[in-house]
Amino acid sequence: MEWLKDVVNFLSNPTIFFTGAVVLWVLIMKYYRIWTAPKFIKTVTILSVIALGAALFDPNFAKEALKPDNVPIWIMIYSVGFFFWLAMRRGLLNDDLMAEGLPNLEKQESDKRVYTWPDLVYSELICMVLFTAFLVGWSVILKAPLEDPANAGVTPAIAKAPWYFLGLQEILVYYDPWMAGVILPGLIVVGLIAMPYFDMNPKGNGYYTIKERFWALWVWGFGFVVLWIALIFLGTFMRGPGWNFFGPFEYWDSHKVVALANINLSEIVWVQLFNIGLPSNILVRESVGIILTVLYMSVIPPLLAKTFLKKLYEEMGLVRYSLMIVLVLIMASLPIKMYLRWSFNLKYIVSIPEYMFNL
Amino acid sequence: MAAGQPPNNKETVYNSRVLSKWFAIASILLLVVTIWAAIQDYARPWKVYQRQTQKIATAVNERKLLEADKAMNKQQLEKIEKDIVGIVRKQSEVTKEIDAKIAAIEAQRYGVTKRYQTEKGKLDEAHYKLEVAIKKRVDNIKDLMAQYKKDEKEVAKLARAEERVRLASEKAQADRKDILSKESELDSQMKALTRTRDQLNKAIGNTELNLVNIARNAPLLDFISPTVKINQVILNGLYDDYFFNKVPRVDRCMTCHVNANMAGYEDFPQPFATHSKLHLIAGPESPHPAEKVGCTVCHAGVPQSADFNNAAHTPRDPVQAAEWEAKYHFHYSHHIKTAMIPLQMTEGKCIQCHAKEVVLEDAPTFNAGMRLVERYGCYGCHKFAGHFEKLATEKKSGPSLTLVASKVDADWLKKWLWDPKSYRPSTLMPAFWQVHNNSDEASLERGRVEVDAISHLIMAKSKKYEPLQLASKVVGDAARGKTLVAQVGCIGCHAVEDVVVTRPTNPKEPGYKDPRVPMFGPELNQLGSKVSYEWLVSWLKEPKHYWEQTAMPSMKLTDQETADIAVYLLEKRNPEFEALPVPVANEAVRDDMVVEFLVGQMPTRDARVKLASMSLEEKQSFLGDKLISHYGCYACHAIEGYENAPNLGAELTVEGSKEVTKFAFDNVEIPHTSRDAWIYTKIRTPRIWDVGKKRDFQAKTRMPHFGFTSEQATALAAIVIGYENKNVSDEMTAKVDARKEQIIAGHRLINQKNCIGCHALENKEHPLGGEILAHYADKSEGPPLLYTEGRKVQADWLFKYLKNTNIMIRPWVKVRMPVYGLSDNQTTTIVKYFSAYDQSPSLFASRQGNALSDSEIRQAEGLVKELGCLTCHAVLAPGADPSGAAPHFANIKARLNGDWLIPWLENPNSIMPGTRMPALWPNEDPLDEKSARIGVPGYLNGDAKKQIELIRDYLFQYPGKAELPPPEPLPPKTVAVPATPAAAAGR
Repeated sequence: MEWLKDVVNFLSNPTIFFTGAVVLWVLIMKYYRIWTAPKFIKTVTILSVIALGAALFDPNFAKEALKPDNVPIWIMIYSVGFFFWLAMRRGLLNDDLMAEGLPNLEKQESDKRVYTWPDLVYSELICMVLFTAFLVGWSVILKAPLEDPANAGVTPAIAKAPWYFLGLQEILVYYDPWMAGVILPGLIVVGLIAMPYFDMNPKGNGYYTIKERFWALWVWGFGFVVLWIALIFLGTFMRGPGWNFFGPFEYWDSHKVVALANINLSEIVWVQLFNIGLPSNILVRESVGIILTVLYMSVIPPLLAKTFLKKLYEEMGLVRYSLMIVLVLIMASLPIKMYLRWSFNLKYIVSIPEYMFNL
Repeated sequence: MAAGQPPNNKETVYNSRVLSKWFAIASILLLVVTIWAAIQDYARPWKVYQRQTQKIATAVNERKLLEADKAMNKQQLEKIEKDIVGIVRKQSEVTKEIDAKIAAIEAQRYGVTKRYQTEKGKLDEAHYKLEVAIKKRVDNIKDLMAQYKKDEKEVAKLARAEERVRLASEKAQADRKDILSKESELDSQMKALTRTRDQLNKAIGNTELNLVNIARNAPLLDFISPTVKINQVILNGLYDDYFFNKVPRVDRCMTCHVNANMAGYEDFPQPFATHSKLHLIAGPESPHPAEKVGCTVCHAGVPQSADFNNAAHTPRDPVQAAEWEAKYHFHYSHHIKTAMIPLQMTEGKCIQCHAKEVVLEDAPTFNAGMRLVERYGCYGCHKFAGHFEKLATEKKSGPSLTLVASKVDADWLKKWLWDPKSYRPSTLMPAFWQVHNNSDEASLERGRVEVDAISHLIMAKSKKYEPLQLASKVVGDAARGKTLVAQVGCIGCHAVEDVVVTRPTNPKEPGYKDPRVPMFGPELNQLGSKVSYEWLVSWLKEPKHYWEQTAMPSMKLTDQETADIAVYLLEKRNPEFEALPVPVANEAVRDDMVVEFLVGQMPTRDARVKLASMSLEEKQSFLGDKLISHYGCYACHAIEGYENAPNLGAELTVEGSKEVTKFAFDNVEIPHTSRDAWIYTKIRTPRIWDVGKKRDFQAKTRMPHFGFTSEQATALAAIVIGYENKNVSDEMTAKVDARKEQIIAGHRLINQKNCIGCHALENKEHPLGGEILAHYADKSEGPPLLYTEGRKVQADWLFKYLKNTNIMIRPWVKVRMPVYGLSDNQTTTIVKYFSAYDQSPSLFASRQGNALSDSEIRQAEGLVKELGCLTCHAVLAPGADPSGAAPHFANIKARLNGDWLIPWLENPNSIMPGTRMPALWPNEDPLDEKSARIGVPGYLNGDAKKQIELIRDYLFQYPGKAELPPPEPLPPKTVAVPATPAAAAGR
């Protein structure tokens, strides 16, 4: 069993974990016809529960998995899984129906009536009562612990954000706090607000579909499931004291030491490549990074507009397209930065600590 | 019907019937969880404990009620009740009359008062008008004035009438009260008689399971006015530090430990039990009442929590931990940084308020811990606050090494350093080598080099010493030496295998010695393997000759006795130690080490060059210096050249408040949330932290291994934990007044000189010391008990005696009061200590006897003869057997205090248990200490009290000159040459 634990620990390393999540996402979006089959998904769910149950025999795993604080994470994982499956399954069925020229499932239902009273209000009331009962039961079983008074002078060994912000905290590993803490979260909010205005496509309104909205689903799902949910999972169960990485079966040793010799792009270019030391002029020093960033943000959008996204560009028009592509590129910069870190120990592409500006 | 109403036949998504079913299910579920929550709340452990406590209290109080009922004077009660009935009947007639009278007066008074008030109003108006007129200078004020005068008269008349009625009413009321007072007097008599019963009844009413209490404590209703409720005390003298604000602490411990401060629950299990030291702690009469000092000030833990685990209980040992796991799901909480202190270490917390004190009554662990810190010299390396901070400037705990080369040879020193316990198993010297972190082959090799270098340097620094020689040529005899060692008092401080001492286990018995505290001096069972005859003779004769600061006193030995003891002690050898090989340094390792240290000062290449130029001795000295600094030998031993070397250990002044996260637990398997477990482990096995760690020499722990027992380590850990950030207000800390200051100074000196090795001090309920007394079956053979000493002897006599003990007081006692060579200051400290402890009214009072007339003296002489005092108290003829003798009377006038003699003559045994002095005036009732004493017939009408006083007075006039200790010679005269004219003028 120990070798299995070691394998899982190894596979949970952020590099492999994240790459795995991306690959899995690609496979999920490609082979949804297979995995959304009720039998398949039931088997996977049961197997996952059995595996989790077996893993609980390991004290290190059990310690984190059974923490009362982490109950919402398990609820989140299974509920996100369920609703994602539901959407995909219904989308698949609808696609099939529509391919045969039949009305989709939602269309079939929409002939029926839903009265405000009793149907809507009554079912809302039932939900409220049930959920209240659930919350009361939860708080009776898992009591909130009483801790020592907070000490402003002492930082706890593990300083973690609330669970729903752990994805953001993971971004902090790769980005300057300004970026990870202010700019990127701000753009997430702005992007969510702006999305209805980019999205002119009326398809998929009021019914589930995959085929008709494949790329929208792909990009959105990647941002939500891979860059948000998966990173929360990583942050909860695999980031221990000092925000160091720990496999699920590893003991959270607060004295763990990890070599962190990250370097900036300017150092890679001027010191490692040309071996001439850093130029004293900031702009010269960071010129490569600045050029690369500018290229990334200015060359890729027109390039894509001419090639892959030609159709989309034509549909959306210049302004909408530009805004959308900027948001997508910024989202994509996160995995790109992660991989640069893992492969080259790259700290910042542009690093101007003199003005607190780091990319 | 509005437009757009769907046709009725249209199918709906939801079925109302199904929804109703779901609603029913959901509602039932909500009801169930609500009941569940209420049950959970009702069954909270503290509520369960309180309900159980109420049952227990009811039962206990009911039993007390039966006893109280039995003890009550029933007849008296009945009589009072009857009287009350009689009085009440009589009263009713009288009061009726008075009441009618009062009613009439009151009616009259109402009318008069009303009229008076009306007229008064008019007068005020007239007054006002008159004043306005005067102000406006109206010419004609005559009318106004007349009106005013008239009103004034009227008001005065009415005022008099009102006063008359008021006085009449008051008198009637007073009469009524007078009549009723008889009843109330009887009433209060009855109440006094039934007070206990009534109180118990009230208490039972609060706790018994009656309908009212059930309703008050019922689930969901118990928020209104429950009797089962959180008990809390707000401690205004104790703060919680919330980092920007200090807030009074709130202790809720007594929510579960309800009876902690109440007597009568001693035999119940926790949490119902009474505090185990109620007279001292928690009790309302104790110096530390729970309402004022709370619980967490000593026990720590989370004060505001009423849950077993959240309150952070800490088990005493693994057994208790297992028991708690089963009973309370006990676990160490990683959230809580101020867990409770395990019970066996709680006494360390005394330090919080008793920061300056060294000895506390009834706190054995505190006392043992303080002595252990002092004896093992922890304060040499670690900075402490309070007593030890001062001690560190006064003395080092180990012997001086400035003359050591005359005492031991280099090989002995190396073997000793290598493993001190192999020479003397009970030594206080800790092991620096062959312990947890340096027992591998490479470290051992290195260790031998270290031992070689250190011993070389110590020997090289040692100065020449000429031992004292005996004046006469005498040949020692071991057998005589053996007797002497057992007799003169060596065993007060030293263990000797030939003298087996069985100690009592009861701390209140003289001869008890806390097993945690080692003997004061080294054991004397191996000396032959260490020192020479010449050195030992000199040492025994005058220890201060070799080492000025030694605590070893001169035992007033003759040359013959000195030689006898020396021969005896040198016969004792340790053959196993002698057979051990001397650690030999490896040349290559030595060279590597020299380079290692040189590299700290110069580039590696230069270091190599330097090494090549060094002689062997230079290398040894160089390494020796580095290593003495590394290990801190100078912390305990005086070594020339290291007088100002720094403290090596961590500062411990607030160790008890140190963040648990700042302790490195490394690989040691102890709870990682436990400060006390870490400190205990550190003390017990200081080097354990390096096990399983890869650390180079400089990074390794260097605190040596003392080989403490578990009990010793516990006591020491208690003290270390006791030093913490001050969270107690100044008003709440123990006051150190002038008297206390003197007692503390005394305790400090007593510990340093080990007076308690021989004498039992302070009081017989809590004797301090007297350890040697275990050796004596007849306690009067041993050193005298010094209870009441401060009131017993005259201060100036004690001063002279302590300065020079060469005077015989108790001829039969073979153990000797040695000469300590105390300074004037030290002597004064001890005299003041006794006087302060026993609350002697004044150091300088001469409270002796009254002058007697000739006839009184004759009577006294007769009485002395009758009582046979002189059979023992006569002056001993030269050469006579002293075994039956007692202190002779001529000395009393210079030595004792008259006030003290009275209780002594009445009952000597109560002052000095086990004394040979009989009680000459026995009690009439031998069992009752307070009953009258039987006088000797024929003297002063047989009045014992007068006889005792007479004897007292007589003793102070007893013929003969009192012997006094010979005065100290003045220091030799020196001709002072003033350094500057100013200094001369300054005199």
